[in-house]
Amino acid sequence: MTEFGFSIHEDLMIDQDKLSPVWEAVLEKVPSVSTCISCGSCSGTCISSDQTGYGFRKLIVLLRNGKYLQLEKALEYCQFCGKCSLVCPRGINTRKAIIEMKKYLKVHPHDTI
Amino acid sequence: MTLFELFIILPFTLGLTYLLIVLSVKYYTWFRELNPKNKLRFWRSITPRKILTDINEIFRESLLHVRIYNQNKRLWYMHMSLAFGWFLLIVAGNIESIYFTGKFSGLPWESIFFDYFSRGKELAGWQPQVFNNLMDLLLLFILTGVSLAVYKRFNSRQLGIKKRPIHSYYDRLAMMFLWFIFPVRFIAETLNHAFYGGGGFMTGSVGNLINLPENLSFISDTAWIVYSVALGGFFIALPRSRYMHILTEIPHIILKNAHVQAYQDKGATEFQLHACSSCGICLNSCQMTNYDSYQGQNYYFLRKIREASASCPDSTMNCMMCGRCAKDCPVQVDTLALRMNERIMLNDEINFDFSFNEYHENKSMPARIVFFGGCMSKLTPGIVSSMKRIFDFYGEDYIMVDENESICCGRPLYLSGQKQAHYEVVKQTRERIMACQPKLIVTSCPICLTTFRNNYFFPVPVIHHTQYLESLIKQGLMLPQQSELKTVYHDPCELGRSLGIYREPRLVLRHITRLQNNIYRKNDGLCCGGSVADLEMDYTDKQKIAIDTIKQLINQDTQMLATSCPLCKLTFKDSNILPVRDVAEIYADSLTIILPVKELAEEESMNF
Repeated sequence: MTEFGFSIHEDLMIDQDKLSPVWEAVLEKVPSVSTCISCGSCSGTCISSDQTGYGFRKLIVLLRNGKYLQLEKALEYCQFCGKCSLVCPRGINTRKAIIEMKKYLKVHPHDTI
Repeated sequence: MTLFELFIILPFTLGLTYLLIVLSVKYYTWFRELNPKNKLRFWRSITPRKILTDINEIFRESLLHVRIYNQNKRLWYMHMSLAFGWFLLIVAGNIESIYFTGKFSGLPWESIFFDYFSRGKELAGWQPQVFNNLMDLLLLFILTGVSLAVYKRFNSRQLGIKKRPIHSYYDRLAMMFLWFIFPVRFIAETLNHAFYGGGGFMTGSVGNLINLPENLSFISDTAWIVYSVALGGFFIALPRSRYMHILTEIPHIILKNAHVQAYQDKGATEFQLHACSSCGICLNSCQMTNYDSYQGQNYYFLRKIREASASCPDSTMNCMMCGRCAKDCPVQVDTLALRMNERIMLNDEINFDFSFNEYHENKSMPARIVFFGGCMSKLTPGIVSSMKRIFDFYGEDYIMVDENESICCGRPLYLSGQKQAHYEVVKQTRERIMACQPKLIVTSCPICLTTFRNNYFFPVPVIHHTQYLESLIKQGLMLPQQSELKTVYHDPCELGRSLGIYREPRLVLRHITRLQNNIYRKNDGLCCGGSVADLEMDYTDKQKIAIDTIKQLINQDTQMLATSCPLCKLTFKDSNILPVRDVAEIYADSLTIILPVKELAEEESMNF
């Protein structure tokens, strides 16, 4: 079989009607998260992103889409250096958002949400 | 002793007994909770010399409050008159009691209610007059302090407290009893002298003015009962209020001089927490006091831990950890360690996975100097390139260890309370740096430098780049040219208060610019606001602090703000008030000779 270097991913359904409790919880603590414009400055400057492929923008996407299993894994890579908050054009307090996500997912495991 | 006399001393005695029992139980428990290491430090500190130092400091700080004298004279008078005045009153009362009864009974109420017990039995001679006048003088001394304390509740600015602290319920209760004690004593003594004669210049004269019929002498007894109740009430309210510091300061000073650390130690933390007098001086030092809603200063923070014994995430995390409060604290409570303890308790359990960052292959070549720029210098590449130019110019054998890959020193993790994760990063970064087999490690980031010195245990010296530049100037080789640029230097918190590096950057700047002085310098330096320790503040709040700080730092004719921390540079730069540059950048730009040393040597050898 010819190797194309990529494969078709599994079927994925994102239910945007379903409320995301983690998103609500984070939004309550860090309201500025809602102003994210996904510009990618955070991922560009992230010290972990080049090895892991995850930046703050991706975390927000995973959070919004309710992919908590992936989110929980991605959150473990953060080294809290805070460069993402320094470059954010919207001035989002990224580190607080990350720590709130981590804490929420620790108390409520992803499969129970 | 009659039944009535028993009735008078009962509230006082009950209060005192309760206080002594509670204190001994608490101190015993806290001492048992000390780490074995700290306990050893304590036992080792019991030497005659240390004991003398302790006694000296207890006298200077618990009674005379010398550190507050340096802050504000009026505030000092208020604290000192209450503490030292009360102490002298107890001492003089005891001497009086011993002198007139001829024996030392050891019963505290005998001296405290001496005037009550000895009324109508005034002895002849000058001695009673001297004692009466002395006691009146001391009472007047304390009463002036109490009146200042009452005034401070209405106008705290006059006594040097920028913002009036809001006391808790127990504090207010204890404060009410404390304020009652001395005026009631004054009334009791005055009435005593009005009915039974005697008295000093104050209580005696006022007593003479009062002309009451003999059958009203029960008022005097009532006043003594109220005095006893005020004392007893204060003693009962004391263990749960901020006045716990009056007695806890003594073991705190002894432990502090024995170098007992509060970091990750429950017992030492309790001693420090209760030694805090809630004087409100930390409200003055904190730059965030200017924001009305902010209640994360140590005054509130320590009280929350002390009273509720529950964590308070908002104020725990909302602190820049600049250390200004710890520097100004008259009791020298290690506020940073206490806050770190809370943060670790709150966040240490959070999961992490840094396996992607593990060090496998040796990518870097061995070099004499390893330069570590840190994460922040990725956003301020000017500092790294300047250091490169300087190293090249002096022909150093160096390597930029984190030029091609981002490595973190781990301090942001530590400051957010994730201690386990911090150690994991420390392990990985240490391996990376040690793979270069350095003889000297230079870093341009004070945050990295602090953690390198505290947690990494490198076998080689670790210095800040300003220290390296200073060593170049001291060697006197090809010095940079001096410019006429008027510069103000901002002391980064981590470099200054945390590591004590003040001299070196100033020396470098004096060589290459015209360095101006400013009020907030060295130990009193302000925070830029961009601290990695604060997890709560938004960008706008950080900018407000940065602008405040710049306004305090610069003079009218300042042309440039110099600093030696990439994070300070970034934060200041965003406020766009005046150009901000790092010491390394200024140094590199003022190097006159373009040819580096190596090429110069080659040229010389070609000439031969």
